[in-house]
Amino acid sequence: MELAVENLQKDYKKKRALDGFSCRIQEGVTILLGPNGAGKSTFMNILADLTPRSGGCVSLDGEDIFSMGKKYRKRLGYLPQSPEFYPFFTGRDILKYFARLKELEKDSYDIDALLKSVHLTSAADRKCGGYSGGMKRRLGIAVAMLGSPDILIMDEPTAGLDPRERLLFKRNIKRMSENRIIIMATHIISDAEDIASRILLLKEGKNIGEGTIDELTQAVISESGQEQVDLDDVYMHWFGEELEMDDVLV
Amino acid sequence: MVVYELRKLLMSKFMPASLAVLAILLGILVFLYRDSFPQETGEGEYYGLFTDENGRIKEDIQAYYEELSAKDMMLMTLNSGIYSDTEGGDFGLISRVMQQSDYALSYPAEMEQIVQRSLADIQRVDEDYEKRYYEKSIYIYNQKVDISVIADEQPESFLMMFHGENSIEYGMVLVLWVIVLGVYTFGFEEDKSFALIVRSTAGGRSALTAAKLLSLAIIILCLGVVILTAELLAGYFIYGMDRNVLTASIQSIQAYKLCDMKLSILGAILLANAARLQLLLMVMGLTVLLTELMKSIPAAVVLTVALEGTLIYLLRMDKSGYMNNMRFMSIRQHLPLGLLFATDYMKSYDYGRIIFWPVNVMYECMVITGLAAVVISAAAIICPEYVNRRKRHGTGGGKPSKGL
Repeated sequence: MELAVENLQKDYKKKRALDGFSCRIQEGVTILLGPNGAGKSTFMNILADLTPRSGGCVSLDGEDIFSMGKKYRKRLGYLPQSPEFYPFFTGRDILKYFARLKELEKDSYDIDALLKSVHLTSAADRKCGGYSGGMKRRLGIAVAMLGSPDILIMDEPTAGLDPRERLLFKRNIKRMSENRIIIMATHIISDAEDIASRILLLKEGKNIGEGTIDELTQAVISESGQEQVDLDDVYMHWFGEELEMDDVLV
Repeated sequence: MVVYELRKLLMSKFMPASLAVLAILLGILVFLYRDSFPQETGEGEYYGLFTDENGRIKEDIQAYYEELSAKDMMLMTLNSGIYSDTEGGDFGLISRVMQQSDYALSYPAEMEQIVQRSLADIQRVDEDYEKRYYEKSIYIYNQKVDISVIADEQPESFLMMFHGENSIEYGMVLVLWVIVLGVYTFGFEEDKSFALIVRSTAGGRSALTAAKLLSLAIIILCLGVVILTAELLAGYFIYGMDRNVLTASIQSIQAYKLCDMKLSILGAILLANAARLQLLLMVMGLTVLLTELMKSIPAAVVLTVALEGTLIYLLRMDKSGYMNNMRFMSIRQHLPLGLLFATDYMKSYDYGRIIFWPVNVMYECMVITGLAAVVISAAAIICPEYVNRRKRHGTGGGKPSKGL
């Protein structure tokens, strides 16, 4: 299974959010790294067929995803940046609701197991209005995972989760990453280090680098001459050049 | 799906607000049209010439008619049908006297004889117009015999209020209510990431849109039943009825006196609501279709307004004002053409009106497109996948930050 992105372009009124973006995404966890405004959310929304593109194409195993329509969305799980749910629905209601929307067969999903996997069993029958931000995000993750989709697109899924929940999430993602394409945007470098199969670096709507963590660190080592480089250094190498000492509060 | 959407609607915090808006709008409407409510006499001005303050036929008039033989009475009835206006003229008054006197039912053989003679008279009527009304009179006369179950006391109710001259405004208020509710409830999703998750699912677009429309339709239907029930109860307490309200003949209501359908009030309520529902679904369907076809809400609005303008212009060419008379005539105004043709109502459809069929179609179109113009803006929110394509989601936007 492969998502091929060719020369993707997205123009807003006064800004080009994606500028000839190309990449190939295979099974495993692909992490999008880049500063705010780099085009990560736009890219993921286009991949989720939520935002129309201005140019370029995206294909899944050679088939244009925008022509596939429902057939593509049946294989998709999506988590937006700040998931919100109807406050008067319980967590269980929400999952049942989305099971219907995803047109899942009743025996193809287990809501209790899903709730357990995101530690929401005890809150399953409470209304979402009373959920904390972290709980809503966990419920969003459960919704995205519902039906075990082939392609999971998640925008900053770990933001706002406590360490224990982040760990649980990462374990779940690692377990799920076999035979699936998982695309995640995050600003938490350690999360990327823990679960990324590949990393895509975005800057001003362009793909400025991609590869495994080893490939990216090796590239920085060979360019900078440093002896030891981690993903933080890779990030700073690509995106930290504008950071001045004056910007740091003392 | 529909159950979930209904729950969303019913539990929405905007529901009380929208009901308040509806109540205010209805209040304004009631105030503006307070003079058009049925008076306690139960009769309009026309009948007031012949009736006393209790709505009974005045004694001298009654005496005059009672002196006539059944034969004369029937002849008068037929003649009044021929020369009356489109509403039946004094035919209603005479038939009422006949019902009170039971003349019509007392002389069936003589009536049959007169009908046969009248049919022969048609041969002598040269002008098509008169011929049509001659046939109409005979038809209605036969119908009236069948509805001898009509209560002597003609019960009135607030049904007039919503099924009389201001029914269009009433419909518009309902549509406005739907928009208020729809916009604030379903619109609630648009800016939320919830809508993104929904739209990313397989059935999150077409099925959801259908479920939303259906749930709105159900709410409208329920509201219509509630309002009509309230009207009936109000009518019962104000005017009283000596028969079961719901099983009484539709002709028991002043506004439907001349309606030639055999219907109970309950049947009429259900039929009117079914028709209203059909109309509303047509409007919403048209709205979604236009939006989908044109891929642009503003363009769809422009087209709708242009279409409506043309239809209004064409309607104005009906100098006789016939359209205005007929559209407020009876329950038929709530029957869109599809439903109208599906019933055997066409069998009794006034011949005179057939020639205005194209105008009738235009009228229906005008109503639909007029409402569509208003609903289109709501559709933009009900079906967000068709609009706001440039809307951005995410932390991005503006000047790129400096990263860490």
